[in-house]
Parts: sequence; C-alpha cells; structure tokens
Amino acid sequence: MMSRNSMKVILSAIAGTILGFFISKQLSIPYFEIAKKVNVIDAITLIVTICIAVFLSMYYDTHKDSKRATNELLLKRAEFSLEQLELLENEISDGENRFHKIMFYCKLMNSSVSLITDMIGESNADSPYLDELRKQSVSLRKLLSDDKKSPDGTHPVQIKKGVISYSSERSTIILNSINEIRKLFVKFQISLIK
Amino acid sequence: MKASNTIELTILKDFSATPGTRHRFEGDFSGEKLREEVLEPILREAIESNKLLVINLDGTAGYGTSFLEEAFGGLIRAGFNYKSVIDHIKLISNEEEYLIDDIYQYLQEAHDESK
Repeated sequence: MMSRNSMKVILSAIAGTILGFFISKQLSIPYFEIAKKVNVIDAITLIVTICIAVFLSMYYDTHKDSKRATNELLLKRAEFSLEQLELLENEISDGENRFHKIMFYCKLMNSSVSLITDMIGESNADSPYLDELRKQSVSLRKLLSDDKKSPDGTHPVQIKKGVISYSSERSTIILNSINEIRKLFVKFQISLIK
Repeated sequence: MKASNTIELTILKDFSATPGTRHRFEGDFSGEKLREEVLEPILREAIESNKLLVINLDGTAGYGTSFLEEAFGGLIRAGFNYKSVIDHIKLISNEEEYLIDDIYQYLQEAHDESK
C-alpha cells in the first residue's frame, strides 16, 4: 500500500506541473523566456527524479514503520519482564519464598529476555545492554536455586516442603542482582525510545 | 556408536508441570524422583536398544538448577557411562535455551568428579 508521504510526493509533483503550466500561460518575467517546447531528455530526467523520490520515500516510510512496530513490541516485552522481576522481588522480600512461584517468575523473565534477543537478532538491530541482561538474568536463576554448599560449609539455599530459605548473604546478593537487572531493563527501554 | 530411532520424553506430560527441588524430602516432584522413576529406566532402555532419548523441557513452570543437576548429573553418579548418556540423549528447550548448556555442564562436572 502506498504510504501517506509517497502520496504527498506524487500530489506535489502533479500540483507543481499544473502550477507551472498556468504560470507559463499567465506570467511574463522580464529577461526570462519560457520555452514552448520541452526537451525529451529533460522530461525523462524529471520523471526519473520523481520516481526515485517516490521510491525513496516509500522505502524510508516502510523501514521507519517496521522499526517503530518492532520497538513497541520490544518495549512491551521489556515491561512484561520488569513486572515478573517485581513479582519475584515481592515474593522474596515478603518472606513467602514459595519455590514454584519463584522459579515461575524467573522462567517468565528469562524466556522474555530470550524472546527480546531473538527479536533484536531478526531485526538486525543491536543493543549494548542485551548481552549483560542475558548474563545477569541467567545468573539470577542460579542464585535463586543453586543449593551447593558455601566454602564455609553452610547452605545458602535450603528448600523444605516447597519453601526456599536463603541465607542473609544470599538474600542480599539476590536483591542486588534484581536491582541490576531492573536498571539494565530501564537502560534498554530508554535506548529503544531514543 | 550414534543412536538411531527415538524415544520421546516430555517432562510436562510424563513427569510434572511443576518440577521441584533436588531431593525427595525437600518437596514434590524432585530431580531425584525424575531420575529414579523416569530418566534412569527410559535411558537404560534407550542405550540398550541404541535409540535416542529426546527430552523436551518446555511447558513447565521452570527448573531450579538443583533439580536439573540432580536429575542429570545424578545419572553419572548412579553409574551411567558419560559417553553413553551424551550419545543417547537429545535435549529440547525452546523456552529457556540456556538449560541445554547447563545440563551438559552438570553431566560433564559429574563425570569429572567421578574420575
């Protein structure tokens, strides 16, 4: 479908031609002569120029619309990820620590980051924050559920009857990691809006 | 020898939508339970009949690292040969593609520890 800008270019060309025709009929400018005949080469040049202008305008519009639509989808996806991050933070902060909920919010956020990465890849765009975002969100999952013993022999993560308890040190690391991921998402969103 | 034909295992359908903790005593649907009741028998069958066990991880509520470590790393600790396991499993995880690398890492680590 022809875009609005392309229509403007075509209408301007038609209006310019009509205006030029009437001006040539009505006006007589001293020291200038309006030719009664048009050189074929000039006419072809004019048509080619108009065609190129229309084509460039259409290409630019399509490209711009597509980029805008992709950015809107990416922004929505980033917003969704931030919501999951907040739910995750609430679950940990209020001390409920239900294992399945924590893993579910974490999974949704990580899947969302994967989707964003795929979308960015497909649109041949690039984001300076995406690699770090992926790294941090995968590492958060490990912080949340890796029950390996610490070097001092304590368990930073313990799970009983579907409830996780974290050592105070691990809790702090998790909450810091959530904050870092949140900041990266916001930076990512800003980079899309700019 | 590379396996031919396939056996399919979908965690969502054949085990649980909510995979749980590492050990049975920690909660329901643990990695230990998956390994002992599902993975070990089906993988043994796959190895004996030289079939490829295709494990689909998608569709669940998410996996904890301890669950996956126990389920897969635990195979090596339970006596499965590392190379046989590697040759006879194929992992599918479209929703969280990094899980595949994690699982191979758990298998490798368990293999290194067993030396």
